[in-house]
Amino acid sequence: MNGAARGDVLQRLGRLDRRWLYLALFACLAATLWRQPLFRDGLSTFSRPVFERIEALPPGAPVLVSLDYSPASAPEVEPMALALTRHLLLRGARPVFVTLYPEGNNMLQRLRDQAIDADFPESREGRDWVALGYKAGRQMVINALRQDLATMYSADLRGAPIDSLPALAGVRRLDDFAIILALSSGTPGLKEWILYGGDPTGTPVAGGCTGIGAPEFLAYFPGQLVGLLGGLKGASEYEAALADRYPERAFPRRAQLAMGPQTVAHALILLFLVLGNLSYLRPRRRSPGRREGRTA
Amino acid sequence: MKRLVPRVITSFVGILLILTAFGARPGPDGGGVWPVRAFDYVDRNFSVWFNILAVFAFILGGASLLKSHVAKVAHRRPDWPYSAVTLVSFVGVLAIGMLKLGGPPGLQGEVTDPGAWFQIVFDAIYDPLLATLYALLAFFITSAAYRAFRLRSPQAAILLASAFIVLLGRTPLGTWLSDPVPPSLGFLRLDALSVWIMSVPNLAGQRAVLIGIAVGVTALTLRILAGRGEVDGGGA
Repeated sequence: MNGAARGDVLQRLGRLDRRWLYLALFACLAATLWRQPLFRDGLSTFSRPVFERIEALPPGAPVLVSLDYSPASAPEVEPMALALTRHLLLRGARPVFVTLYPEGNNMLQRLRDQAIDADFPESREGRDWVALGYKAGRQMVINALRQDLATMYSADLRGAPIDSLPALAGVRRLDDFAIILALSSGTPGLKEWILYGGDPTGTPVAGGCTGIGAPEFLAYFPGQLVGLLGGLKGASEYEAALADRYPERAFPRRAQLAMGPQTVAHALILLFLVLGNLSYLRPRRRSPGRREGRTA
Repeated sequence: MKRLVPRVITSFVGILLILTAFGARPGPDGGGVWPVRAFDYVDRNFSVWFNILAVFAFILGGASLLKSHVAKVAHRRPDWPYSAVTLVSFVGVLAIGMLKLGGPPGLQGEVTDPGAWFQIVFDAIYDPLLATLYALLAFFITSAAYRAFRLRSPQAAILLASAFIVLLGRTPLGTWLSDPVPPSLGFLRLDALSVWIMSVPNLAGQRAVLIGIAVGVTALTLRILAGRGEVDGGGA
């Protein structure tokens, strides 16, 4: 192949029709979803403190879990919620579920089906965990919880008065919780829990977020935010750590299985980046006309 | 007068809330001298009042949505069929939720119960629609990355290199590719480099943006408190 022909091929690789990209991505994702490879994973600098904090919780410790996400970000954030809930129940902690998203109650129902009823059928609502659900008001809900839980929630989602719930014994306000776990995909979410909940009360805050949101929260780590599960990778790390720590419990590994398609998609994007830049890497000849023009 | 009253109210409430943030006591209530008790009262009740108002905002939002889309359908404006779909969806889901169809009856009946129609609509329509919309991003991002990340300048080369490291470092592929790196050179592993990029250069930029925004918000707040900023007085 002569230089001109090679240059032509490189030019064409740099101008591929987007439908070829879509087709390649679809084929790779479909093949990976069909094969379902399971990669090993380990805790990172950001996710390790979350795991260790929960591992160190004494039995019966009340933990506030805020499910601030919708189905759009559920593929990334929901596996974290499932893994954290399983971990809390394994440790004998008392998760108290709230949400600042209107869709949060529906997400809570799915969490109840997939993590609590499926893996902990012996646990009892109201005794081992509580679902308080959604309240309108965004960060002002956090502000009210800081003062008094009862101002926002007189009953749980089943209608049981909160005073009658053993899981809320000794819990009156935000600083009675051992830790706040906020799983968020936007606003209001983890940032609001840090600023309005954790900072004023001194209650430790940890959480998870979508991959694209993670860089924003690193500014709060490790002081105001004790740990962070960033995107699907964070969820996968947590699932892997949970499986290593409790090998006798074979929980579903949703995030770890989803890392296969994500890895292939990332590799494909990198391949296309290389193809797109090949034409920029070839040596270029100077255009005498252009030079003359500049001089003039 | 139309401008003055909203400004005075805004300034008064704003200053009161700032004083409350510093004056109210954290922890159990009761006792204390009167200013502190007053700050406690404000701190305790303002959030609740706000939350009550927030509920009415839903009603206002729903009414506004109905008004604009009904007008669009009635006058057959461009794309009116989309408005018709919006109206049918809105009224349908609202009725299902308000009447608690299929779920436990009564005011305390939860609409997210497995048999409730609201949960069925959520699982069968809302969830797949949102998931599909979000999943399409993977295709758009691939196409956008292919077209945008070009080695046009040294800055673009740095951006491209960072993207390579972070994309690889956030997947098991990066871990696998880094396995031959000896422990003494562990900082050169792709996952370690990815964490470094996120924690050092990225964080420096993030902090600069955060601090800049905070300073800007402080300046804007001071202008509003001083009555020199624009306050939305509901058309005042």
